[in-house]
Amino acid sequence: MSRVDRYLEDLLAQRRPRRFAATDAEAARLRAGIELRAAQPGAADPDPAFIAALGQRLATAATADPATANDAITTDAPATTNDSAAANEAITTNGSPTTSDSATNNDSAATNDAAETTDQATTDEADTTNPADTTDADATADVVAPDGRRRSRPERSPSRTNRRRFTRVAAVAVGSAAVAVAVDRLVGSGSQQSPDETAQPTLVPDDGAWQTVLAAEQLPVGAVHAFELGGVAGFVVRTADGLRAVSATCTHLGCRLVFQAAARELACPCHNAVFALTGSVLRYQLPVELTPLPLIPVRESAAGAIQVLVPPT
Amino acid sequence: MDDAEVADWDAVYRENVEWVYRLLFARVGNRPDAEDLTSEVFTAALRSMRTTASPPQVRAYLATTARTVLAGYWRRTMRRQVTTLDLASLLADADPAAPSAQDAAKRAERIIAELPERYRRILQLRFLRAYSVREAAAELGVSVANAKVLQHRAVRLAAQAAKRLEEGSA
Repeated sequence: MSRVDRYLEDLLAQRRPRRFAATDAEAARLRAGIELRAAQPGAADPDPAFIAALGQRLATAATADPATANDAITTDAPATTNDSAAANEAITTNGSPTTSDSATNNDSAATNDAAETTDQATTDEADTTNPADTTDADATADVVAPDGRRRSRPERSPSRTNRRRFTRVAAVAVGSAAVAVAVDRLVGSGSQQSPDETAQPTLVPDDGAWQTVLAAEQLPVGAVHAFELGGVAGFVVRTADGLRAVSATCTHLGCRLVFQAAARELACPCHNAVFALTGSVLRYQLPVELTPLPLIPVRESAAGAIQVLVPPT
Repeated sequence: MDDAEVADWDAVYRENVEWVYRLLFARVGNRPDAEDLTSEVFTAALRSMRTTASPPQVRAYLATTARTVLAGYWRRTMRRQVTTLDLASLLADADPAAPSAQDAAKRAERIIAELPERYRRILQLRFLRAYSVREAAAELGVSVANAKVLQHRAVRLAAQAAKRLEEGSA
């Protein structure tokens, strides 16, 4: 029996099929077989016991003990980031066995046919699918899967607001590794660091230097000027109330914002989030929260230069 | 997560788990893998999804997550890159409104409709009607060994037919 035949027999018996490195032709046959098998009447109906058990497991994970804040360092990267990574490597030639990314580092597990090891490979893969999670501390909690097998899954911190506040501030540091943002020096809504969406931090580097962006006379009231200095990208604007400098880095995933002159807004080309020149979030279509753009300290020097406080180059 | 968020999350799960499961099952063809991948999708979504998103946003997000999870699954399962064609059809599938049980059955029928009689029959019996090899052989009046050879060839032809269908509709 060929490997394809064996795989399809597994499918027909509703066993987990045995893995093998398939050629293009073999993959086409597997897909045809899968499509036929999946069309069997009633085949696609989920097992109610599975649905209930998964719901329980997720609810447990959601209410996990807040003391285990081990993923405080992760960013809220949704699956879309990995998706683009997967898509990018997918638009290459077919058939060649993957040697590429960190996700497939479980080859030894994958060559085993034993379902147990395959499960483990699946679990590991689930963790590495989100690269952000590789920065997690390794506190894992065994969870009993509905079929009785134990799996390791990293515990999730439910203290999402605390986590988000920290990661949003950390996410400002784009490009320059030298930028160390002092969390305890957030300025904005007074001395209280409230994690709600109206809190707007100011980026204050540890070893900052005032660098000139442009001459004061080049920035009349209402004018907006983009800059990138010391690894920090931003826009400086002169309003009726004075100067303001705001980060040009989207607080979603770090894309560079573009100033839309007509609407006087900052737009993100990656997922179409839109911010005001004050930094506040105007519009976005993402199922994750966005925080306002951080401010950057700005001043007008006695010599008539508009300067921002950024790490030295 | 406070109680309100847990309740929101539970609602999101209950409203979406079935279509996500069906979508995944249609692509992997077996229950154990479909269950694992469904777990992966919702576990990943739990990490990073805002439950106050609108239902269409939630569906889009889950569909995207399912796509990523499936891409990883093919990499692991067959140790090969997922082709652009696979991705494109995954995307098409990712509309929860689209693939219904009737659609799947119709597509399957279209694939095997072009095949010669005996190849069509073996696939119908074994794949669509869950006959064992022995039962299918008896039904067709051939030996078990013959039935296996028939099936092997029929699957090859079905793969070609499926490809023609895809290219035809592309």
